[in-house]
Amino acid sequence: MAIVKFKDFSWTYQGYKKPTLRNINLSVKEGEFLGVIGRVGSGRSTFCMTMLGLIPHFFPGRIKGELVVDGLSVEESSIAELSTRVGLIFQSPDTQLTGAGTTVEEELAFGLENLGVPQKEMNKRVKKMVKLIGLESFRNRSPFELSGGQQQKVAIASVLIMQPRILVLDEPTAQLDPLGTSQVFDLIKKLAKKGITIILNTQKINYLAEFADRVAILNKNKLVKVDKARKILTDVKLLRRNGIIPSVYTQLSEQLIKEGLYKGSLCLTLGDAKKMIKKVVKK
Amino acid sequence: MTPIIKASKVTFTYPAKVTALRDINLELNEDEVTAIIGQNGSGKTTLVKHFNGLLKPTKGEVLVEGKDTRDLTTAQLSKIVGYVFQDPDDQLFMSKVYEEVAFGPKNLGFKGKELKSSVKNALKMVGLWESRKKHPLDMNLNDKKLVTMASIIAMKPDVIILDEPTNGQDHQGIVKVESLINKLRKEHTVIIISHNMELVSKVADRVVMMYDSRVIFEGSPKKAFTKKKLLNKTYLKPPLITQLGQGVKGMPSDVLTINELVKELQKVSK
Amino acid sequence: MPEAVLISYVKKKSFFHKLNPLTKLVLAVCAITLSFLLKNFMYNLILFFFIIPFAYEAKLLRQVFKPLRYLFIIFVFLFGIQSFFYPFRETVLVQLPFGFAIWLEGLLYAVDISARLLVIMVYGYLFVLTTHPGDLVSELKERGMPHWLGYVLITTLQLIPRVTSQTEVIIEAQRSRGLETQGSVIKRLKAYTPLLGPLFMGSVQNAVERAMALEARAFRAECDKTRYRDVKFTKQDKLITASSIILSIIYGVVSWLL
Repeated sequence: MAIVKFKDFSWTYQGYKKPTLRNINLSVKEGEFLGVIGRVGSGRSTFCMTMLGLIPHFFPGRIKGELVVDGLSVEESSIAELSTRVGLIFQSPDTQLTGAGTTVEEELAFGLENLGVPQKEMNKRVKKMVKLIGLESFRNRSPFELSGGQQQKVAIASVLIMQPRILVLDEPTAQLDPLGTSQVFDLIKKLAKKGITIILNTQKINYLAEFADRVAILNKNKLVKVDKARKILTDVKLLRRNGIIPSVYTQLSEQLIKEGLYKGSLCLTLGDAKKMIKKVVKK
Repeated sequence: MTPIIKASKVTFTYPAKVTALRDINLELNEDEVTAIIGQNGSGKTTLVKHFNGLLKPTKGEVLVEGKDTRDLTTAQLSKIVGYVFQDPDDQLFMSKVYEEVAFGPKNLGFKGKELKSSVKNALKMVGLWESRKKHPLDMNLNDKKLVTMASIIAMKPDVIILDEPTNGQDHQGIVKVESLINKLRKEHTVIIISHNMELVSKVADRVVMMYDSRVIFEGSPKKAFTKKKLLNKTYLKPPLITQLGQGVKGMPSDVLTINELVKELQKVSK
Repeated sequence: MPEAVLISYVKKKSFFHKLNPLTKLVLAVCAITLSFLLKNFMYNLILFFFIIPFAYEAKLLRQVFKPLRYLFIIFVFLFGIQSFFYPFRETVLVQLPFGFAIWLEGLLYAVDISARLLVIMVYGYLFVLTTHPGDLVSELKERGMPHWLGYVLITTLQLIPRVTSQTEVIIEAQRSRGLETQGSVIKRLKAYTPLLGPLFMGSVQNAVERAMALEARAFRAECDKTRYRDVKFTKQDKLITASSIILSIIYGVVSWLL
């Protein structure tokens, strides 16, 4: 069953003539991992904000069509209601820490305080989350003193603690160093395994190649195509038409095919590429 | 060849007594592209801030074109060393792209024809001459970043420092930055700080690896990306294509580009 | 430095630290109120030294007196001005040339004010040193302070250092573009205009992003809020609060009767 369903969904920010999202039709299944790719300015960030209801409840504008998230119509529900179903993570590790907590634990608990969760339950969940993100030794530290990757993990845990079934991440690693990036992707992978529905907007298609079930391409405010990850990420024509450069491994296999060294399907992951090279060498 | 920037025994301690650089010895040669890599907090930004005098060494000295940075202000050094900061929003403040780019050269006393030609040249170089009348804040991140680069290029410094030039950009933005660096290298010494190893492998002549306030490696990218132990220590990974070469027996461990690997495979299959 | 962002709180294990923030607040308020009501400076000096057992117990004896050095300059001005120009002067203490004189009333007035400042400073500071802002806000919320106000108080404390470092980056970015920030006042004022735009835009942008983060944490959920930081008001708190108030009243009255 679809846990997120866009039906002819369009959105125009107040003061803009053209819609930032145009006629989106998309269903995301429970437990699915959906990758979202596209150019800067294609509407990906706005797309991410729709599901928590920041659109239309935080930013003014005009909606057409319908968006249903975990059984709730986004237009008719408050952000507070939606926040227990959808967790939203932004790009900047620093500004998405609310500053409400003087320690990591308090920052994690903030959402629960807002929901009026009893203290006992809060303690239990905070403990669990601190463990999940592996920051036990930092739990009494100020979140502002952590590294970018750690802050981003705190941000993720601080929405997960509200037990949403869907996690939407808008370029969560764009401002992180390689270590922070791998820390965050490891956490996302762990969550995907737990069965949380994940919608991940990222430029790093080699990571998507590893774990996404499906990938959606946005371009010029439209959903161009959504399909199995491998199918989209090896469709080089489609990617290039939409301003996306295929994975290095895909490019390599293209080149080898052109040179007549390799016959077969295009590679996507490191594993594929290794196999391909072994084949080429054997010949 | 005399180095354009020379750091000798540089140690830097912040007023809060945090040591961010320990005993750095480094020589940067003219017309080279140097990439400084390492995790956040390893001292990369602190190091390059010494090159344009934003920071002065606690111990040791930094010479820029033979001059001790302690004797000059950042404004004076900006004639020689241009520094493009990471976040465009920290510096854009004019209402027109043209004016934004003209701000630096005007500070340096450029006037009349010289001013016009340097601004025009810089904007053409980054491919934004047509957008000169736009408001910088109305542009997308790719273009904002290019505006900040143009605004340093227009000051005609000998050395250009680019701090995370591809951060937050989409694929096309990255391609543009790459080609811009290749244009810049003809007339400038270029220093980049980057987490993007694909970019580093494509543009850098030399790699400086930093870890825990020290330089732990200095050499060609080919060498840098085969230093497994050092890379592990700094949590860095070689470019994807290099990882592939290293992952298959019989393949060289220092291929940096697709073409190199293809050539290698052609050799083998013959 | 786990508490680096919280300006002055010093973590120590002591009975005084463990007291409820309100108890400590009551003690500080009592002392400060008393300092205005006591008959003369002698009583204030006694009150001033009365902090020693508290500060000692809190293991902050030296720290409590540290900021007094900032008072020194104020004292110099206070004595300088009041002893010469106190409006209700009557008794000359020392006659100086050109018709100037040091007046007894002025001198006493300066002593009075100084003693009061000493009391306010140490009691106020002991409160700040021993009270975690998070505990104070949590307790105030428990006593009916609106949830949003609690958020504002805590974040303000936490975000001041962020804004400062942001400003530094912006200044550095423009200095790197040849902006000279040293020189005459006009030159410097002129230099600061390029900083205002990015600073303002940056703050607005950060505020929007932070507001979105708040929304994502159900900040506006309509329900009874709970508190994570557990602050208790114990029997000892009751005892100390009550005795602070009662002893203050007695001390105040005694100072006027004797």
